[in-house]
Amino acid sequence: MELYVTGSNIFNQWLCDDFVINEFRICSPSNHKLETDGNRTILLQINWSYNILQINDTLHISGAWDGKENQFIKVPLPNDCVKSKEELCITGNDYKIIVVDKKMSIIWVLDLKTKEFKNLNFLIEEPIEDGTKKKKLDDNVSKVILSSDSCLYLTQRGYVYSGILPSYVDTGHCTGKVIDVQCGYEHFILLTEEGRVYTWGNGRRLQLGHGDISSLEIPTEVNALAGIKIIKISAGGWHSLALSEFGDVYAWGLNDTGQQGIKHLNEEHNESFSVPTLVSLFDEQGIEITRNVKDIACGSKHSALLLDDNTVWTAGCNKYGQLGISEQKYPSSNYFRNVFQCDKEDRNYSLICGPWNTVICCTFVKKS
Amino acid sequence: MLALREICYKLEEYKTNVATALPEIEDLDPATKSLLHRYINSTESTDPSSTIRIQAILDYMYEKINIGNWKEVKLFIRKAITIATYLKLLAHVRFSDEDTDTMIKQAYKIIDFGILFGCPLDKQPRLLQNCATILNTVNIQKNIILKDTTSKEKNNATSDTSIEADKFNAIQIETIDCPSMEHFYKNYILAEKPVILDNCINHWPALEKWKDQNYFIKLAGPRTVSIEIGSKYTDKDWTQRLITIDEFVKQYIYQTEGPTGYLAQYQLFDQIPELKNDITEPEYCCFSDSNEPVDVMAWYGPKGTVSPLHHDPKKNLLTQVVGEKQLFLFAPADSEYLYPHEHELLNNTAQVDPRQPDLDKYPKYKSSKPYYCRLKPGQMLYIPPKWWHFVESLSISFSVSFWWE
Repeated sequence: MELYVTGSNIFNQWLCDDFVINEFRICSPSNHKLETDGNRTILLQINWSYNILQINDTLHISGAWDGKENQFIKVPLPNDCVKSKEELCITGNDYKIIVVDKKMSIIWVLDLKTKEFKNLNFLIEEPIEDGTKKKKLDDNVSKVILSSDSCLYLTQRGYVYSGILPSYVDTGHCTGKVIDVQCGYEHFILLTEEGRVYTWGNGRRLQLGHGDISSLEIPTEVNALAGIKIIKISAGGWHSLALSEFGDVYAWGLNDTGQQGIKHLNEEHNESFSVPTLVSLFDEQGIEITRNVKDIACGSKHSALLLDDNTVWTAGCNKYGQLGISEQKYPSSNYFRNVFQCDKEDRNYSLICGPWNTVICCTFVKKS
Repeated sequence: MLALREICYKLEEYKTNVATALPEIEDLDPATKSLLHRYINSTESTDPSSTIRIQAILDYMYEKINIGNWKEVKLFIRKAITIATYLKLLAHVRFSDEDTDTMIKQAYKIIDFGILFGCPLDKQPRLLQNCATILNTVNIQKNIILKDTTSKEKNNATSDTSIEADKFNAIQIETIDCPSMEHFYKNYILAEKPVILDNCINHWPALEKWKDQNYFIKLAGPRTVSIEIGSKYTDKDWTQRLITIDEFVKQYIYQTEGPTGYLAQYQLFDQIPELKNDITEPEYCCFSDSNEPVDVMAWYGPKGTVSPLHHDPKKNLLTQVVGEKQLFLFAPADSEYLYPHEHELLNNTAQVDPRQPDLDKYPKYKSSKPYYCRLKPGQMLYIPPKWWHFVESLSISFSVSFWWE
């Protein structure tokens, strides 16, 4: 896997010296110190001070570790975790890393301060009719995300749990099985198989997309997207993006640095949109681009799009080079700019953002 | 006037004290904490390449304090802002290649960001204010307004309170002359009754000094404050903005067009302690049910600032220093006649405008009993807890409120 990286390198998490990377630059973490052929490297998550990488079955951290920056560390997993040989779900925030064994349903919590693992039992259960007893379901964890102070788990059967010690989130009213969940700083989004989008959490900065600043305790369908089949969702710090089956992107929430990327006639204008609003893209001559978007990702105050011609477009805050262009010249951009062209044949490209980073993951297409 | 080298030296003297405050950020994330520890305990922070990391810490912590309600933000995050601000200031003063004027003005901006968004360290509570005091010893160019900026006192008696009160069908609020502590306590605090106190602050230097708007520019022109823009906070286009005092006086105190700017409910005296010498805390505030210090707030703005009808939980002595304000007060029992907003964030605010009550929309207002006054320089108005009040400035105005429990 190759990574094209731009943005913050404050903790040397991209294993180079510049604190700010302001153009997409190749970074191959698995080449660093331990390259052997056939390594399967996956960039799992980009955080403020470190990145989480999975190299084969091992967990690696790049960036800040144990009071030092510029580290590349293989994190020793607890014995029972290694022995299980099951697939792992891994996520982290500024304080903790969570490792979940998909089958065993045990949660190992690594405290980044003490470097100690603690484990918790994860009983997958759902309250049954009478509301008192709980039944255990035969189910596996498929995703876990930890962001700021929030944590969400998603299972293969489509159940959602919140909190590090998981508590059941009722999604019984949602149409279709839940297939993805996303966490903003204080809001949550879920996507169902039917292509419907539900949001909940704090709505003070319009990030829930229901047209007001109310907060919601239960996942509530975003009406403005009703009738549009959504295939991918992404939550930024206080904004959100959704990608439709036709390759259209909708944005809503805070727009203080132009992170919604919606070009306005008045160039200085950073109006926030309280409901999902279609994003249009324009080339340098101001002519609208009709190509489809195939991937979306949000950072804390920026957004990135990948089009079907493998061009990458970014908008929002660029203070740390997260848009892939000069931060001196463009401190922010309130519309999407074409900033990169992925040009290698036979590769698959996808996007992943950290709070202040944009990364293009490039993998070889498997030949059958 | 100190040489810049001495300024650097004086600022760095706090470093050992700040180091003793590091346990106060023990709960910070390990990566940020180890950077701050290293920079405070070594000379590495004065390596120019570290400034970008210190700025990144400030930016990241600023994102953190914007998550959730301001009152629930963890203090260690705000303390990290204070410490990072101090480090940024040291590097700025030492390495800035700007001319002294620009450098010092930028240094105040750095400090004021830390004062506004950080919070005091237990071990060194006045760290950033003290740093500002050190910078004050450098004389810099102040952009004084050349025209006469002294507020003119109106001598005409057309604005007689009793006539105005009649016009609004309101009861004129009683005025008493510098009452004894016992009299005030028994008849107003215990009775929860509003009253105007005359001749209690005649000794305040502020009464003379603050008439001249250049005084604020001279004393604190380059300092950054947070102001409210829009005529009242219930308006849709109401917003807040950071601005220097210099710009505020020029753009908002003397402007007649465009949106209103109001330095409202602002802890100016914590930020600029020199201004505290111009006022004194009224002795009446000693009748307190708690040990909490009195909240002293500044309210400085042009003619036409409006605080919509609202109530506060604490006792309030609103002191008029410069200019005039008109106020409408209502007893807590009148709430149902005033139509409070239903949204949880605004339910201490009512929808009626007592100047022009819309009786079709708010018919019950007829049953309310408004109290009215025009507060003049040198007067203090006692507003009992939970009493509704509507405030409008009738000229350039500077008031100081004292809130206590």
